[in-house]
Amino acid sequence: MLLIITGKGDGTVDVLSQHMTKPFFRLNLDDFRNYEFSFENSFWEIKNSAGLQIDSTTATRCFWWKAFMYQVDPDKFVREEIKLIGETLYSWFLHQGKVIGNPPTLESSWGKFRQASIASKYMDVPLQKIGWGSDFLAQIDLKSEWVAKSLSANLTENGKALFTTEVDPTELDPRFPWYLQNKVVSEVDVTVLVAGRKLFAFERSRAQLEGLDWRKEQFSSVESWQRIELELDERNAVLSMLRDMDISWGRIDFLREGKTLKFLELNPNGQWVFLDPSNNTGLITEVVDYLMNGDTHD
Amino acid sequence: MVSTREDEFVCGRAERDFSNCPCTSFRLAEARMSKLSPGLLFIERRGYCLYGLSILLFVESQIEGVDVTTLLTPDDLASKPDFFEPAVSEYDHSLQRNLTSSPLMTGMGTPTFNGTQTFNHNGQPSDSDQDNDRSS
Repeated sequence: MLLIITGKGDGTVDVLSQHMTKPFFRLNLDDFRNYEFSFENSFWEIKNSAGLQIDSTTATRCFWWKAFMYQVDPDKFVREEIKLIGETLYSWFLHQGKVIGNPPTLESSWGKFRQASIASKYMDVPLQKIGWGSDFLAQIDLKSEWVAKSLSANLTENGKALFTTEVDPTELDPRFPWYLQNKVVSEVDVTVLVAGRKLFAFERSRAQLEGLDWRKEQFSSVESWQRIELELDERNAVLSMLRDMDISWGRIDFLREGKTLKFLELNPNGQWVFLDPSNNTGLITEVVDYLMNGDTHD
Repeated sequence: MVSTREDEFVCGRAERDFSNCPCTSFRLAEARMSKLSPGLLFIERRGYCLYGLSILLFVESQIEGVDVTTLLTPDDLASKPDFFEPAVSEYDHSLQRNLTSSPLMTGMGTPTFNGTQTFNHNGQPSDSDQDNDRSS
């Protein structure tokens, strides 16, 4: 049986739950008091308030989905205890090679530059720079155009988000950390969901976007994502990159410049339901199949 | 640092249309800046109705004084992201999902699944691509 460790309000798991083909168990860490939980030595079991249960003898795989994005508990002690219990449970699956998808630590342990380094072996990658200080900014090639981005996606103290923004490096304050990338002029966003050996590519026109970052206009834009097939060489390049990264789940973002795909980043646990929310192309069905039947790993 | 003092306001334009909505306030969703010439910064702000009944209710453009000897910080470049009010939902432990959730709710323009950054009013992201620990 598949165990999903997530949060009570997670809409992605809500959608998955409606398409599951086999029994599964959902553990919402932020709703832990609605479960019975026990773990001793090598045996554990969990029951929810409706009587559904899973234990170490029936569990065959585990999918971690953004469990720490939710407020587990207002009490710091309880919160940290529950978080560590969640990680302990997940590590039980890790050590047995029963994980499907990616651990929550994967993104921070990889880093953008390691991604870009591997991707650059197989496809075009815009030049990226991270740094601060006058020397760092003074060495930037001003003949190129640059955009500033956020590495952490956290809000500033004033509650603002740094979306992808075109900048003149000479106007940037050297006392702050900057993540800069060569600007790519593109009319099309391309994103690829990876589920096992299958690639699900979608594109979205940028023609109606007012800014550089589609995420900024996600409520006001009606432009939807369209399913596409990658060219054979593009598909082979992506699969080669994934093989080198040893990754079988995630969402890869590209920009298409002319006929060239420009790699931006790989999100090891990127959101994906928005690409096909009504399952018109069968994306949800494919993801369920991957979660239920895909090859697990450690 | 960008100056936004009222006494430096040079000109402005505001368009408001509350005809579709009873609320009389809005929240800033984004701001864009561009330098027109040394000393002058063009700032355009867009706001959205608090209740979401109208998409674009407020557009303001103004020219503000800016000290060109100072430099831009990440906060200067950042803008208020789209916000949402989480829907109150009833979780069903036998179905293991929220009862108000359906695929029809997950299209473009709805808050739960669209892309990388959607925040509630506490600044808590609901749909980040990142797996950073935000629970603390």
